Amino acid sequence: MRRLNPSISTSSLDLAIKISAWICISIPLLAMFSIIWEMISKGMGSFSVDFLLNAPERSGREGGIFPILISTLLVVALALVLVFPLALGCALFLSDSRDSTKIVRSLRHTVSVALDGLTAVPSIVFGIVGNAVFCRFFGFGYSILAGSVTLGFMIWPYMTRAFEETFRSVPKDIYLQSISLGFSSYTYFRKIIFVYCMPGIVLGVVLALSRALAETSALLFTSGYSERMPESLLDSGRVLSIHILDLAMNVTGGDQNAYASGLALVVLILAINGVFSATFALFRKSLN
Amino acid sequence: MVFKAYTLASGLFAIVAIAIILCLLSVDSFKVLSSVPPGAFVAGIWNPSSGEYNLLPMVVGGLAACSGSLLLVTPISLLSALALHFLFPRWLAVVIRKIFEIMSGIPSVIFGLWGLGFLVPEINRMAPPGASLMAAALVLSLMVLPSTILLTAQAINDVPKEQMVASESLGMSLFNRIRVVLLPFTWTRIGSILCLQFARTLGETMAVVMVAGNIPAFPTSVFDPIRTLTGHIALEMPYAEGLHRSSLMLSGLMLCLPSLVLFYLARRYLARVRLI
Repeated sequence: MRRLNPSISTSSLDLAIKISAWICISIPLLAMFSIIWEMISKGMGSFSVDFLLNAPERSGREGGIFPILISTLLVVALALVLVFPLALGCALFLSDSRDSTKIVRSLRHTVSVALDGLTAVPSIVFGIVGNAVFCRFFGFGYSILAGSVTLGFMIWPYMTRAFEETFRSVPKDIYLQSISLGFSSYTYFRKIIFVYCMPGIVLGVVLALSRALAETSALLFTSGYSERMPESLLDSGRVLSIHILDLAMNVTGGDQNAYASGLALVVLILAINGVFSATFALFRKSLN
Repeated sequence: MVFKAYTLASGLFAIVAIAIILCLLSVDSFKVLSSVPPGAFVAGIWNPSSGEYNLLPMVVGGLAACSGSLLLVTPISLLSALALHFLFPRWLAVVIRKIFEIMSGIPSVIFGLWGLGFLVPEINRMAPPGASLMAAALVLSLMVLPSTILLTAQAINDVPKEQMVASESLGMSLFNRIRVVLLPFTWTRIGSILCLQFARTLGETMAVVMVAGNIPAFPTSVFDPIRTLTGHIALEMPYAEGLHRSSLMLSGLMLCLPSLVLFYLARRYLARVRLI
């Protein structure tokens, strides 16, 4: 049992804690408003429908971001499509506890550690490894394909963990009943998990999607810089976040369009999150 | 049977993927390790065209920025989580949580852009050049603060209710409740959260490249420009070949290993938390 120290005047200490807590929580909130304000005040000037639908001119100082939006969507969509079956299989392997021989259990543990390892690898390292493997070894060059495969590997652990969590949320009695009915692993997946965990699966995909949209450094050396409209998956295509980086760092006089592109990226991510959480709330309501 | 093989294969693929990453980094960095004496990585200057590969300034710069941000993040996130739990009315806490959730989804390049357009000029007025260790640490802190606060608040929320109620009914002050009940229950969780966030700042590239100044030299004050290992790779990779490229792969390996160790320790010895 710890002794309380009566010599400290606790009421003034409490006040100090309260005041510093108020100050501390206001710091990130103020920064948040400052960031949003900065995007809006500096980017709104050139943000319009034309900006979204035109090609960039003079390396992005003028014109819009249409080809960049298209490349972004291609890279992200392809990454999601490629990684979805892998994440699904991996999550099923990690959460299916009916097969619990010693070997399988230790294997499951190893896979779990490996997934944590993939989460720990910094995204710039994914970038250089992706460059070495896909751009050079497989000969894709700087291309949308190389970028999306690299990005897919980066978002894989996040998607898998999200799936695993929903798969584990299936009630124990449903699971036991399925075993007593003699369901095979596949039937259990098809008839129980696929139905019961559908909202969780969608949520996992959205989580991975917003992570993929935010990614810059893994794509820097894989999907490349070209700001033209990509003509095939083996063409280089510049994604939105790299466009922002390039305009802000390397193009003098590109500031305003950098902020406008930043605004577009933030709005895109917020819109995706907003739409899905709204649909989710509706879904929950209709379920009850 | 086919289905089982599919799930097993995709599970095993995780092991293969991490093995490929580590092997490739090791093999590629072996070239520079075998042709340059080990002392050259910690002495002299960085000038790959004349065969000088001193990586120490980048390591020190990166560690300084990340430790600086950890120093800022630890008290701020703890106190903010306390504010969310004890001080605010329920509706306000819900609103602020929502704001932090949104904020933790904002891409790091946006934080970098804000740092470049707002923070760096402000610091420049105090002490030129502005792009500095200070700016890097501040941007990194703001980037990880929202998710750290949310996770810490969750950890505080998971303290058994009876203990909190009992301590309150004993008439203990807020300070003593935090000291005697809250911290003993939560410090392992909070430790692992901070561990993971430190690893995250260590691996962050874009936000840092945009505000740190990127000069490969030791910083002598917080207003000096620095270059981190991540920024180093991002800046030099486009034109690197041969030994230069191999030295960048070595930097990648040097980034990977500590963050792998941090993640493993956080998961193995401290509590399991999910990084948002």
